[in-house]
Amino acid sequence: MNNILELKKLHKEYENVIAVNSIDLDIPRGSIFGLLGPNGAGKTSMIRIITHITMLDSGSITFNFNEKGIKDYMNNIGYLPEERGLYPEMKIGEQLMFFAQMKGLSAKKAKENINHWLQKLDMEDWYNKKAQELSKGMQQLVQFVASIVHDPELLIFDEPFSGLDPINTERLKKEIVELAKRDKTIIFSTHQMSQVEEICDEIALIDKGVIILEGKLKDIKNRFKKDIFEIKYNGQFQSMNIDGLDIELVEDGCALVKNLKYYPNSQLLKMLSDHVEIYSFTEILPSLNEIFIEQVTRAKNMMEAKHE
Amino acid sequence: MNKTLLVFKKEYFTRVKNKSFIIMTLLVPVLIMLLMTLPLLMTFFKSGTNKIAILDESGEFAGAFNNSSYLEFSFVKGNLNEWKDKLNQNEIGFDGLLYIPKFDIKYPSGFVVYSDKQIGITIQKTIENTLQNKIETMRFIDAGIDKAKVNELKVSIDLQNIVMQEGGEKKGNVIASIAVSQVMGFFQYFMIFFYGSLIMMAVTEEKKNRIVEIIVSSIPPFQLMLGKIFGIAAVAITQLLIWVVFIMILMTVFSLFMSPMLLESVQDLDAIAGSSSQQITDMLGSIEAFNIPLMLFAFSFFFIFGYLFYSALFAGAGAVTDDNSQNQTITIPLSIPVILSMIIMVNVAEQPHSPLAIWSSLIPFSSPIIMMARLPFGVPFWQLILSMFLLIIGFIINTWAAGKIYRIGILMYGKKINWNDIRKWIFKTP
Repeated sequence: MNNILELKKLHKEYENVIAVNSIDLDIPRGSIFGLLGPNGAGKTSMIRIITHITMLDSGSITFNFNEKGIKDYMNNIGYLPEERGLYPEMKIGEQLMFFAQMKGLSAKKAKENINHWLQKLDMEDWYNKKAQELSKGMQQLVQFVASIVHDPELLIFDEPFSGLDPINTERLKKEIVELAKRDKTIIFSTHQMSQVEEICDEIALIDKGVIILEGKLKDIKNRFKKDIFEIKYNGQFQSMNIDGLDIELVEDGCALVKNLKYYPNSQLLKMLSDHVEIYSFTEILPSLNEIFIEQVTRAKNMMEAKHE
Repeated sequence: MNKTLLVFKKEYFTRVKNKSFIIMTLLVPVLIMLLMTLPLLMTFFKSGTNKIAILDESGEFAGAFNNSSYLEFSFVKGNLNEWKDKLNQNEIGFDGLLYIPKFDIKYPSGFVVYSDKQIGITIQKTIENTLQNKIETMRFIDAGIDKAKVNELKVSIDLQNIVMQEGGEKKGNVIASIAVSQVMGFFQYFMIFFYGSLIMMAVTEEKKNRIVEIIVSSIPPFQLMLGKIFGIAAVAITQLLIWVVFIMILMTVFSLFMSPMLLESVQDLDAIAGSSSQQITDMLGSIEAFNIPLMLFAFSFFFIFGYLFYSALFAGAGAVTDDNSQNQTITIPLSIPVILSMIIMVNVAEQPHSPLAIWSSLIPFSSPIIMMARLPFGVPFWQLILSMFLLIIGFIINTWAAGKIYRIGILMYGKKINWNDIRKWIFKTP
């Protein structure tokens, strides 16, 4: 099986709200999967079901872990929740030992892994510090270590970068990408699109408990491209009126070209070359942020239209 | 179950290593010792020897007053008003003046102690007893009765109660039974409230520190609850053991230093209270007459499981709340059965085999206290077994329910939760 996690008709209702509305979703092994959506979309509800914190009303969850025979699948998930904290009175080393052993590691193995990660993130000095002596950002790094220390196959990070400074954000990003290279699967929940664009392979956009967009990041961007190209050139356009093209000058030697008639790229290039000498020819893809806002607004409008 | 052990260890060691725990553990025995010895110490330091002057106008009491370690009598002569003035001006070095007027032996009255401060109950009783004795003796003589003869003819009856049981007769002693049972019951009551609130805080800890999600995604709530409840039970037992050992050491040290003084004042107190040491030995004797191994086992069992049963309830309560002010309101419904049990316990001492006693010693909410209270009076074997069984079942159900409540209630930050919600969580969630 190439999907580490398969959700089928996942459904969860609270008193008045449908938090997760019959969602089907496959998470491919080794991917960094972005779970996107506005606040209150149902991301955290979904994650809590996957991590066995809340019960699902109906539907099914299937895990396909490489390592068979692990009795307790809880041990093979690492979870960094959005609501996160540490025992304030406990030393960092003790806490990490506790968390690692709670995930089924032997004391020896736990110690080994903790040392490895503390070293890797330059945190060795913190071993004997109490959590309450650390800053919020430092605590967050400890929480990150706590979520991966047992070397799970599936990692779930809920807004992992919120509250981190740019340097630590970069460090964490680097670690996450590295984990994915080691065949770990990462589910990454956020509403910060720029981060998703940087590191995610696949995304699912959730709103009001429903998936409104799903697939490989590249495919999605292509799907939402508006056939606009940026060209840099030498020379002058004799006429701006070329059949099927809408040319807009940005500055001298740079223009945006809209391909209204969907000519193939090679033909488009040829058509433009007839007029000017082309230096560069780039397709402008929409940012995920634009797609996100567009899709959420569209979904909202559709809902309203349905109500009227 | 490994994870339960981990939680147990974490709860136990973080608490035992905590500074405030260590301070509390060492301070309490000292405080208890102080409380126990303070009244005695106070009599030593305050009283010294009280000097009482006696102005005896009747002339009947010469030699009637015996000096003791804290009371010294001396007869004086003169005018009452003069002596009162002297006493007022603190000239004479006496703490009090006992005035004995001429009195009618049929209606003796007019005895007064003048003092600058209120005299103690001990002094008052001693003087009263002496006066009464002397006047009684005078009356005996007037009536032509030999007082020595009367004393000889006096009799004291000690009613013994022998409980008929299979395997022989046992000497029962109602007073001893009541004392033992009430003390145990009260101790249980104290334990439940003292450590119950600790359990509640332990359960809210993860919620308060926002660690719940990591914990609940690592360990099933039932196991988590078990670990916490047993962890704190172990803390309680550790603390109690340290206290017991520490108090015993302090007592030994104390008695080494104080025994001569202590002995004296105990004798004095003894004389005042009029209790004979014979009764005390009797009482101790009848405690020995109980089936000691069974009693010890049953006491320990009801003590530990009663504590666990209520701990689980407190854990459930802790799971619903997320701050300590809420904790207090929710403990009220929990304390009602305990307080009711305490009330029933008094009744059980009078009627240990009434239906009320039997039922309340079977129901887990009251059995830890009531069964303890009934034990010294003898309880049928089947009732004991049934009660134990129900208590264990009750503990498991409570812990399971607490786990359920925890799993759902713990993620509800800041939402007011009512009883209906809790009922739903327990029974409606899979």
